[in-house]
Order: sequence, then C-alpha cells, then structure tokens
Amino acid sequence: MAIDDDDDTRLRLPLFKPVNFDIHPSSPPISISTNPISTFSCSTVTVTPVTSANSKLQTVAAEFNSISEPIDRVKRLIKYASQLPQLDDSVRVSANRVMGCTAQVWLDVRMDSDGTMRFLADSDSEITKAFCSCLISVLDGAKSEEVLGMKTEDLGDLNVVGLHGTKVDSRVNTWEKKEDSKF
Amino acid sequence: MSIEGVVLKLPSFSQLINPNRTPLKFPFNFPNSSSSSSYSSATASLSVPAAAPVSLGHSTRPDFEILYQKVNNGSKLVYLDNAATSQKPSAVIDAVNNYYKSYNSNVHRGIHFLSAKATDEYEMARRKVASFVNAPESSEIVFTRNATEAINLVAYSWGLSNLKAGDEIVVTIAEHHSSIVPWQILSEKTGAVLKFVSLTEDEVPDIKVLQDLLSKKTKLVAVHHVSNVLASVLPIKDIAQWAHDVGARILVDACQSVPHMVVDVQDLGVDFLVASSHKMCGPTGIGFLYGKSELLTAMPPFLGGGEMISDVFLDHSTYAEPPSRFEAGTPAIGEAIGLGTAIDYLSQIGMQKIHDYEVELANYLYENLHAIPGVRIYGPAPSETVHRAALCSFNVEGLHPTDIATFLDQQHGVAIRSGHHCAQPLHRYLGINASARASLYFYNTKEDVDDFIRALEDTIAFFTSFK
Repeated sequence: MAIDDDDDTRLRLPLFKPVNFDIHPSSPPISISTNPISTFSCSTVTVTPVTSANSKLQTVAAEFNSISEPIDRVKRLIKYASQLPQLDDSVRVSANRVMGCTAQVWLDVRMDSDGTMRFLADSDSEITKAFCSCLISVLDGAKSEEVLGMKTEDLGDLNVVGLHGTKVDSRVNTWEKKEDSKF
Repeated sequence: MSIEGVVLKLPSFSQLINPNRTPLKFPFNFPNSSSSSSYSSATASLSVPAAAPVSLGHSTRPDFEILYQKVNNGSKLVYLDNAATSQKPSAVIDAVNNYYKSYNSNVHRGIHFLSAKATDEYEMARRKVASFVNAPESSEIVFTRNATEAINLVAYSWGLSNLKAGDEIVVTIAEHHSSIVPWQILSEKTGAVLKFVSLTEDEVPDIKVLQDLLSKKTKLVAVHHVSNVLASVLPIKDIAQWAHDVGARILVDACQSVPHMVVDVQDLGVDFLVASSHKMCGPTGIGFLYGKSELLTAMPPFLGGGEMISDVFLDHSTYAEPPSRFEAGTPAIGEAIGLGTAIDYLSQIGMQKIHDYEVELANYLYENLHAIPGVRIYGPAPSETVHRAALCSFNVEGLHPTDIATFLDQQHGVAIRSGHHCAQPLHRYLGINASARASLYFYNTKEDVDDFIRALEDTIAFFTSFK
C-alpha cells in the first residue's frame, strides 16, 4: 500500500498509514508498512515523558471510584460519550465494525510513524459510546506495544464505571482481538 | 393500581363451623353471601374484610423465591424477561434436589432399587409431557436438551433422509434462529430451497403469502406458534391443513405457546412440535420433540451411542425403537423429572386460567407502553380478534435499546432484554438493529407492569435531558 500523504486531514498527522482490518477469515493477511526511516525494535523503545496508558487507566478508574451515586456515574459516563468527536459516515462502515450483539460500534485505528496509536470510535448506543470514549482516553496516544501489551484484565479496572463490567470486558476483548490480528 | 387481594382460607374455616358443608367460593362478602344460609349467626358477626379476587400473579408469586430480591442499587427485582427464560417454583427446585438426594441413579439399566425408581420417575415425566400436549402415546415424546436440539434432530434425521434437491422448506422471516439455521444447513446438504414468508402491514406473518408459497415441491413447513418478538399467534390448525394438502409435513416451534396456553398436538394436527422446559417453569437442559409415531419410526438415528441401540456388533449396530432411538447417552434425568413437576404445577393452575390472565396482562402492558410518547411496539395491535402474547418488543425514538435496558436495570431493578432476540432476519426486515423486549409470565402482576412503565418514563427523561 502506498503512503498517502494528502489523505485525512482529520488527525492532521503526516506520514501515517490507515490500518484497515476486518474479521473475515478469508481476508488477506494484514500488514502495516511504517515509514521505513523510523524503524525500531521492541527492545529499544524509550520511555516517553507522556503519561502511560496504565496511569491514564488508573486515573479514569479513580475518577469513577470517587463517585458514590450510581446515577452520577452514569451521568459522568454519558459526558464521556459527548467528548467523542462526531465520526464521518465514511468511517461508520462494516469494515470498521467491532462485532457485538446489541449495539453497533465502529472503530478506526491508525498508527502514526513513530508507533503511536490513534483511535476513533462511535456507537449508536450512548453508553457503549461512553465506554469507547473511556477506552480511547486511556489508549489514544499510547505506543503500539503498550496497547498490545494490555490485557483485558488490566482494563478490568474500568469496571468501576458502575455498570456491569461485562460490557467493558467483552468490548475490550474484541478490541484486543482486532489488535492481535493486525500485528 | 389494583388492590392487594386478601387471601382467606374460607374452605377450612367453613369446615370448622360445619364440616359437611362444601367450601365457599370467592369473592366472599359479609353479609350478602347467598350460601351462608346454614351458618349460625355467630359467623356473620365476624369482621372479616371482603376479599377482592386475588390475581394469579399475586397468588403464585410466593412460590418463586427468586422474585423477592433486591438488585444493583437496592431496587427490588422486577423480572420481565420471561420469553428468555422462566423462573422455577419451589416445587420444581425441590423435585430436582430430591432426585439427587434420594434416588439418583442411571436409568433404563440396572436392576437395583434406586435405578428402578429413577427410571419410573423419568418415564413418568415423559408421560406427563405427552399428556400435557395431548400426544396419543408417550413414545411420541423424545427428550432433548432443548427445542433447538429437537429442531436439529428433525433436520438431521428426518430432513436428510426425506429431502432432495429442488424440494422446498417454507418458514417465516420471524422465526427464531433455531428454526432458520438448521434448515439452512439442511438446504446446503440436500440442495433443498428455503422460502421465507414476509409480514403483513400489521406485522404478522402473511398467511396468504404462506398459502401461495405452498406447492407440490414443499416438503416441510416450519413455523412458530407464538412469536417471541411480535407477540402474534399463528393459525396452526389451518397451516397444518394446508401443508398436508400439498403433501408437506409441519413442524411447530411451540416455545412461546406451550408455557402459556393449552396446546393440543392432535387438535392442531401437527407432525412435529418442539418446546423447551426452561421457558415453562422447568429446569434448563431438557426439552422435547413431539413426533407422530409413523414419522419417528421411519427416521434414522440422530446421535449414536448407548441407549439408542438394540444390538452392537463390530461391523454394524441395530437401533432401538423411538423414543429411545433418539436419546443417546445418559439423559438429563433430574431435569426431566423437574420438567414433569413443572407440568404438574402448571396443570394444577390450569393452562386456560394462565392464558386468560396473561391476555389481561398483555393488554395492560400494551396499552400502558403504547401510551408513552416516542414508543414504537412491534407486532399487531391487540383487538377482539387479535390476542397478543404477554410481551412487547419496542424501541424508543432517539434511544438505543441497550441504553434503555441498562438504565432500567441499574436504576430501577427492571430486567428486560435488548438485542435481536435471536431473530436477526426479522429485525432486518423491520429496518432496525435491535429492540428492547419486556415479556411476562403468570407470576407477574399489574404492579410489575406499573413499575416498568414508571421506570421507562424515568429512563427516557434521563437520556433526553442530555440532548
């Protein structure tokens, strides 16, 4: 796939490759071609000064933990939903669907040249959108290794958002599977 | 708001006064009771309050301990997901416990005491099922894991040996996945063609279209009796007749009818009928297939193993007669016995009584839900001629059903279902991704419906406030 410099002004990140994935077993193996100049191996990732995904996770968890009334947690959750930018219709396509039984979720995953992950998501359910927003606030801007290194259990801390953990768990599970299938 | 009925144990009271007297009937009103002529004046001076008729929901509720709990933020549970599964009365739980405590043993073999008792109870359960659906012989009842397995049994056993390329199977687009997917698999294997009946404007399967689809090519008609989404009821007796007129067989998915009304397989004239125990106050893990004996006798086995054989040699085996032929391996013995007890429990109330009460509840639910602005209920509107089942699948404008169900549960303890209810083709046909569904059973009350409606109004107000 050729690098498309003038594509996508949304994120305003140069030199990134849109990563498309789909879950059909017949699809060709997915490969990512990063900018050949900035090659690196996992063992030489330097510690960046930005907050790690893990600490962002703890912050979100602590935030919800501090809210005692369940209804206030739901209100806080819905506020998270409103923080998600409106997704283009071009992103709300079946290739970007994260499969789940009840609500529809669209996920757009991109990796820019230095291995930073960028996520966009949307859902037709407010609560699911809010979960996506929480997950994105934790994972967006993280390095790809960090995202891949996160296990569903780590994100279990997000269960304190006061609603049944299973939603977050199962959603996260499918996100992680998508991540694994990409790399 | 209906009045909590006062239950007076009148028969025993009257027997105390006059043991030879037949029990008085409800409602009992002082001093106008016409049947109190032989009572002494002393009884008439007792200040017992006039008893309002107790609804079936109120009188049966105490049998279901599980309903008396608080969930989440301390709200009392309001269980409205009965189309997904029903709760079990103590009698059923006790029966299963008692089986395991007192006479657990493998059935159909072994000569010892426990084994004989287990076999007796297991076969008695089979007779109870047969009698419940008015099957002529108990050998026409095959125990399966559930209705889904029963349908697969017919697809693999009857279907594979009776269908060929070009044959047609007629189903409706409102079928549960369990009565679509097995036929799709069967079609792939045999080259048979699946034909789907669409809905009318009233959102019921169009029986005119169904009739038109029937032809000499039709070999099987597979339809639901009561729809788990639309709440509509199909005229099975007529459909069976039309199917037989073209030489086809009919299989009825009775999962949503057997628990809620009188179902008589002889009167309906069906060839196959399936149902699941867990939707009718029985345990999970057991269900049944009713099949006409001439059909079952001609069918090859489904699963192979012990129980379903007659003799086993190295190079071949001979098979048992139905129903054993289709019951390979050790069955769910305790569960079958539990189902038998569930049938006893339901029969004691009376299926007609259950049905009549649920029609009342169904109307109450529909009217109250319909009155909320922005609510869209699927399926036909109830009327003199159209009786809906006591369930409503619905959507609220601008809200996702998952959000509704989540908030109802979290804030109000109200349990409903959201999703496609194993009816994706139906949802696609209706142009929606998902719906919310509230479904009742005879132990629900009008108060449950009131709680649901209030909670739903609060839910809608909550989400609307963010817009």
